[in-house]
Amino acid sequence: MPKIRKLVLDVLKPRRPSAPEFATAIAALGPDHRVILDVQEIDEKTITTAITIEGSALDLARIEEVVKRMGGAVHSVDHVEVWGDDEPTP
Amino acid sequence: MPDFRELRRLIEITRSEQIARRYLVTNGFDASLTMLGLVVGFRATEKSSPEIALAACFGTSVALAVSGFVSTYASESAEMQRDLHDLTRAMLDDLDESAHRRATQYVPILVAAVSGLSPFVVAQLIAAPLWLHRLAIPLALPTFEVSIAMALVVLFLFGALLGHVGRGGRIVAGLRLLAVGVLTAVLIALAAPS
Repeated sequence: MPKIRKLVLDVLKPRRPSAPEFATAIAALGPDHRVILDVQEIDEKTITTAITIEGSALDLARIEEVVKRMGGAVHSVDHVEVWGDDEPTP
Repeated sequence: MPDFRELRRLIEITRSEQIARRYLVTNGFDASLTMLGLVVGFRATEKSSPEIALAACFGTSVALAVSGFVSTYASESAEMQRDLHDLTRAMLDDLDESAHRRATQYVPILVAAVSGLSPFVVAQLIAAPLWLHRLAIPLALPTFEVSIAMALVVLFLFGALLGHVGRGGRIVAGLRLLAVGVLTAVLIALAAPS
């Protein structure tokens, strides 16, 4: 089954929780998840970020759930990298 | 109901640790001086007994606790609702499933509990010699004097805590509040009708 290996999300988040805390919460979804959070714009109450997530099998729905729980909102999925089956079917 | 870990996160998000600490000190300080005033006032009248003083101190401590809890809950709840409303507008989202909305539900209760418990515990500490007298446990010194000493010790400790929070000298800060307590006690003792 094809698996999502990389995502770049445009996320609007409140100023708190902090960027490290926000990224850590997403990274906690999987042992091999790698999260890079780039700040794009800082407003009075919000921060626009580009979040890059890499892992062997990313679950977009769960990532969106965590973002929502932390008070953020996924505005768009800007980049997706999907790999096909690891093992060729006989 | 959030577990301890989530509660800690909600406190961090709302930065309520500082707010709770302020209520702890201000309401505790209020209770210390109120109790000191009561005990010094009772000591000034020859007819008063530790039993009467205990009843008055206990009643006052309950009133301070209720006042601290209710007023803090009302004000913190309103402030957090306002913050959430502003954030909701900025995010263009309802934030219904967010930690921020849960924080507005639970954090005001926690801060209010600190605000209410602080004066109650402080008042009971200062009234402890009166309780001991009531339980017929003898003290080395007269009951009122021990109670006044307790109030001064509590004031010194609050000052030391403030010194610690302000990264300053704990002893100097403690002595400063102790001086406020001594001055208050002297003023009451001089002015109280006997």
